[in-house]
Amino acid sequence: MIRGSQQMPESETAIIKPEAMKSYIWLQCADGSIQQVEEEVAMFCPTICREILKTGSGSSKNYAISLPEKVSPATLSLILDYCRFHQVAGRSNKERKSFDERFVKVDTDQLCELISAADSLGLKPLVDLTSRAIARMIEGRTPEEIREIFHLPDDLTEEEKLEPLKNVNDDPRIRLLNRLYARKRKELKERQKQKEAKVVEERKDERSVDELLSFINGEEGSRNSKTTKGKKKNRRRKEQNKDSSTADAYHTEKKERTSMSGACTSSGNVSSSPNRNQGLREGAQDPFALKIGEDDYTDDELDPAMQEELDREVEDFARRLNSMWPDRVQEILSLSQDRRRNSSFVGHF
Amino acid sequence: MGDPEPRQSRVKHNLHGDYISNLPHDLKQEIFLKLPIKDVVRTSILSSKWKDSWTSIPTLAFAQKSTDSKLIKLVDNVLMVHCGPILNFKLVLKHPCNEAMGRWMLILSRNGVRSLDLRYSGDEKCKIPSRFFSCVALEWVLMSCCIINAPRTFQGFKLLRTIGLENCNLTGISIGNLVSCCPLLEKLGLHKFIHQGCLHILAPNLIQLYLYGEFHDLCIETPKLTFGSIGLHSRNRDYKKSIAEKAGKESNITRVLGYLLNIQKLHVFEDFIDYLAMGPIPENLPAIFYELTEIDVPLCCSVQDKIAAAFCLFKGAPNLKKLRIEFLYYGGEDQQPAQILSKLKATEGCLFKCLEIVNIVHVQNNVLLAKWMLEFAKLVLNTAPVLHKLNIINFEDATFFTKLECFPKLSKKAEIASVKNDKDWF
Repeated sequence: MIRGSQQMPESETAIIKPEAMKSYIWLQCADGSIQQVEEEVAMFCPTICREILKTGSGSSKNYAISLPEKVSPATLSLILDYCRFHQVAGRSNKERKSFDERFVKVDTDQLCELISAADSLGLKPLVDLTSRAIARMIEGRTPEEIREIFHLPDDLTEEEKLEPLKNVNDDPRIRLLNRLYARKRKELKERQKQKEAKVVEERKDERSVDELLSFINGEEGSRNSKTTKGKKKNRRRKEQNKDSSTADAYHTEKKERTSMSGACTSSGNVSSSPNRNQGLREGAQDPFALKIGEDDYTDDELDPAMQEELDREVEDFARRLNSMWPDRVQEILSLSQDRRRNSSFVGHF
Repeated sequence: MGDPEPRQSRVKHNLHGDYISNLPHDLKQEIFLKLPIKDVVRTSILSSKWKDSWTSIPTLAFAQKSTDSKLIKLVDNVLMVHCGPILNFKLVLKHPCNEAMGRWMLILSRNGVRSLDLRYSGDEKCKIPSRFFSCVALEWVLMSCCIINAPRTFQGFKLLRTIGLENCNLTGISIGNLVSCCPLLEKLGLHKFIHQGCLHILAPNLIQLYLYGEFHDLCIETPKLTFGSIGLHSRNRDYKKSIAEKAGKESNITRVLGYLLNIQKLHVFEDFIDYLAMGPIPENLPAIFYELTEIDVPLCCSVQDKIAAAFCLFKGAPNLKKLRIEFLYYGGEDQQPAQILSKLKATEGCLFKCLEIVNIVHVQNNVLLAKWMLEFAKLVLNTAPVLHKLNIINFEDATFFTKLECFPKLSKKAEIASVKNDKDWF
């Protein structure tokens, strides 16, 4: 290991860079420990880079760059590994992606340290990567599980947990709540015959909170058998228009052509299914009719394959609107506000 | 390297061992940005530090596959509890809900919404409320199956850069006027639209244009355009009454495409080639497109004008790198493809000088079509000195390929391949 900088003269302005030797940057963590790292690796961090260019420090042990408090030595090691890998220009996207996937397979606490440290060093791609990893740990989990993973204290009262509902003054909602409570009470009475009273009490609290919240927030968990009202009329019409030609991208367009002309002949706007229109108009009378669960007239599905095709078409269209044709790699690595906003937007399906 | 502590060293825990509650606000936002909205809202019951963390997220995306009534409830709840600017709003609904849309648009217009993505998929289109036009901070708009009725007082969106309208009806204002009153417009996409008369697009900053719909005439004044994808759908061939037919002076291709000096990628599809071929086809277009590197155009076999129009484009693009041709059979007498093609080929010999990739797409089953494909492939192999790949898409006739392999290749590196489909062309 070449310790080139130790041979430097005391004056801080002279930075000797012999051709054969790499140059190193010295970094100091909040706890006083100092690390030495290759210059190009350190320069990958915008904060360090700025510091070097602005003040010229970091070139020797005595003038090491002080890193923000959030960066512990262990975390710094990890971050430097990340920088060392990614600052090499020639790597393929696949390589980078698999490195990233392996990189975030660390303990939860380390991951949280990483995101903090990456943020304070200005490493936006790493912030993105770690936040995505943390999001994956939260997504789809129950509050208890999340508290367990991240060691969160359960310090909200039951009332506070129901608070979002308190903000709502609509009568229909309170009616629904009462209905739901009544249903729950009935269910639990039956269960009390089998289990201990205490256990049931606890479970009732927890489950009621979650279920209420999820019901109000629109969970698809409730398996409504009211869904298939079967508006067969529309489905048949859509199916007729489907061409049986090969699944080539441009054949799809031809299919679209016939179905589009179908829509055009009926002057584009009004659908030919009077049933559905009526249903909608009913709901339209009362501006705040948040009819929960009862009239799920909105539940009927288009032929799912057709729906998927239409969805894909709109996605394609949206993607076209977003994409800048040149370098995809450039797009991925550069995190301009615009792209981040829009791509997380469209990709959020 | 210095002396780093061993990686396995335990990191100091924050208060009570809580790992993430003390993250700075914008890092929490980063995490929220990557979660579906339901999970975001659910974080409010995790702990006291998380109760209100989510309420200031700038992006709200409601795109789960859920019943409409539940989604409407969810949106209402979220908008009610949310506090702060709403910069990005996305909503995917099956059926329109005009009243709900009204109250949501009110909230959005008051919260500085910058990008709006509204997608409906039913037969009935959703009526966009007039509050939409008060969203002065809008920069990005995508709407699917909507009816947009512009008020007379509408002055335009001064910050709007991207508009995408899919299967929408625009009333109260023409497309041309909408474009004109959005001076910063860079990307315009109109899919499945119907326009009466001449579609006039005057946009000094427009970079990308996608059009697919019905129109009688097209006039685009977009000097900065680099990407153009235009398709004309027509039931009654109304465009036949186009300006070119009446005036007879300039051909459509010259008038419409002739001055797009910055164009880099050009895609012409459906009947638009028919439209372009109206009027006297010039030998060469008035300008040379030095930036044009990709062309995707149909070759309508046996209709000389349309083939001539396509070749007009080829000749005007000396730096053409990628070419994609769909072969369509339009009837007409069985002319000799070889003759026609060689007549159209430029005599100066600068055709296809930089061409590297060619995709020849087979669309219909027709013997004459196969003959045309063969002749064109032969032409390409013969004239492209740096040709890299010649792909035949969706065609697996063995004799065709045997004949193809026999043709002389000007480029030593040229490879002929048979590919199922080229969906990744774009």
